[in-house]
Amino acid sequence: MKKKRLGMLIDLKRCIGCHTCAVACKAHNNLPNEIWWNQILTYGGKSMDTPKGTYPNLEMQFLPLACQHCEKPACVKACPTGASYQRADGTVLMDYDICVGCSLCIMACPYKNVRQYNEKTPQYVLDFPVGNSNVNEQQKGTVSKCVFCYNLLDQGESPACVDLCPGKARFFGDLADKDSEVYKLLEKRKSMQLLTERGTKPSVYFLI
Amino acid sequence: MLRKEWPLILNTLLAQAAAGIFLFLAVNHLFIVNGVQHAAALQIYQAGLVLVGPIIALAMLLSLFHLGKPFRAYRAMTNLPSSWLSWEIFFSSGFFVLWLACFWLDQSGISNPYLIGLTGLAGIFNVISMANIYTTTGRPGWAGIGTYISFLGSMFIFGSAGAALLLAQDAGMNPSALALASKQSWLVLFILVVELVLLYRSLSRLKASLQETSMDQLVSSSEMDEEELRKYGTISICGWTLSLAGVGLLVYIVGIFPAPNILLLFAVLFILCGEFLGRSAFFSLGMGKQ
Repeated sequence: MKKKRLGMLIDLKRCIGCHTCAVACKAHNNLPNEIWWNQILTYGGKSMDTPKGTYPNLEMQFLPLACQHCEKPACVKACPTGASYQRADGTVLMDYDICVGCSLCIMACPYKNVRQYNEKTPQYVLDFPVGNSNVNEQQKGTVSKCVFCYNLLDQGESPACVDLCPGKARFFGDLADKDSEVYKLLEKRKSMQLLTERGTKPSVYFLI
Repeated sequence: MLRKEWPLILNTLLAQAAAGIFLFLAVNHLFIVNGVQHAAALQIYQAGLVLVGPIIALAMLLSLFHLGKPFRAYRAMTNLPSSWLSWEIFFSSGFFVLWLACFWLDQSGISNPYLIGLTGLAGIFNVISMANIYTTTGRPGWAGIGTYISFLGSMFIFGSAGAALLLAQDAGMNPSALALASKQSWLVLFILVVELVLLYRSLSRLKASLQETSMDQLVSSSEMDEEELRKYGTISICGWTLSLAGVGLLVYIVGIFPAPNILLLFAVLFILCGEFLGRSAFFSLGMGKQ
């Protein structure tokens, strides 16, 4: 039986840059004020939501970016304590209880800001957690990142960003399963990945 | 800039200094076998031995300031199968323990060449492990042989400076030790020239990568703009120039021993400032936009 490999597809033709996925992620995972696991970048002008070029030849693309849950994660290899580890289904997770906060995973990761360091004691806008009660609590002095909402996966659900995207731009499933929606979409549509030359084999594809 | 990285800057420099000083003094001690001069080289080795342990201990202590959870630091050696940071901690701890053994035996009047050799190797492997931590991140500013030359270069530069400082205390002016110190200084000068070539290559590669405008460039963790590259590139070159001035002065000082202490002081100051600037620029170029 082929090994399971969970992955995500993001349809760039559907993404409208609304940041719902980023907020959904933040709320579900009870992320502190400064921490955002999901970032929506703008490929285009120098600032967010601005195109490049001169009218009428303008170009702009929203690019949602979070942990790519690589098949050969550089962060797992670099981590001296094993706090950064990979599950059998391919998801790359963090154990905050053994993380020493050396940030070597941040240095090893090819992708910008997908891993974030909790510099301060976690503070929240609201005085109560708004997300699920079974997410791991953030700790000062440790690194955190997108965990594919593994607590939801274990209940047979999809990550929060996938469920709540209003443009239905995100798809999630087993990339190794030929009957899965993600596998079929990859066969049918043109796709791209980011920084493939770094050799980490990301599990996130962008449909173009 | 580099608010979180300053402990790493000092940790890497001090660990390389400890390894370098031990290496140079051990080589002097083990390879100068002529009777009277051997005794003098042994004296210099013993004087330097006192410095090495505290320097490596300080390096390890400073590295704790980089951790978010320093009290969990004992866990950092648990991923030896794949993490170069685990190996670096292994070798730096090993180097300290072996230094302790050398120091203790020396206090009892025993000098074991195999133990000294092993200690020197532990120091070198510590420096190589450090370099591997950064080259294996794949960041353009850190990947490649330049990092090895830079780290090993610092080890040799500090070793040469440390050996010269200790030689200057030797009123007898041991000719064999001076000759060896002269060869060592010229070697370090050669290493600095190689460092400049590799630095130029690295900066050119980084500059070329700035011309690309792609989604890959947008999401890359080592994203940098031209202004930052110019700034850190300039700091790198300034650091290199200061180190070159310091080592050049050392070559001159060793050639004219006994030399005025003020010259030696300037040489050491140039080297300290040069290496600190160079290492700061190294971290900035690798980390990209902060």
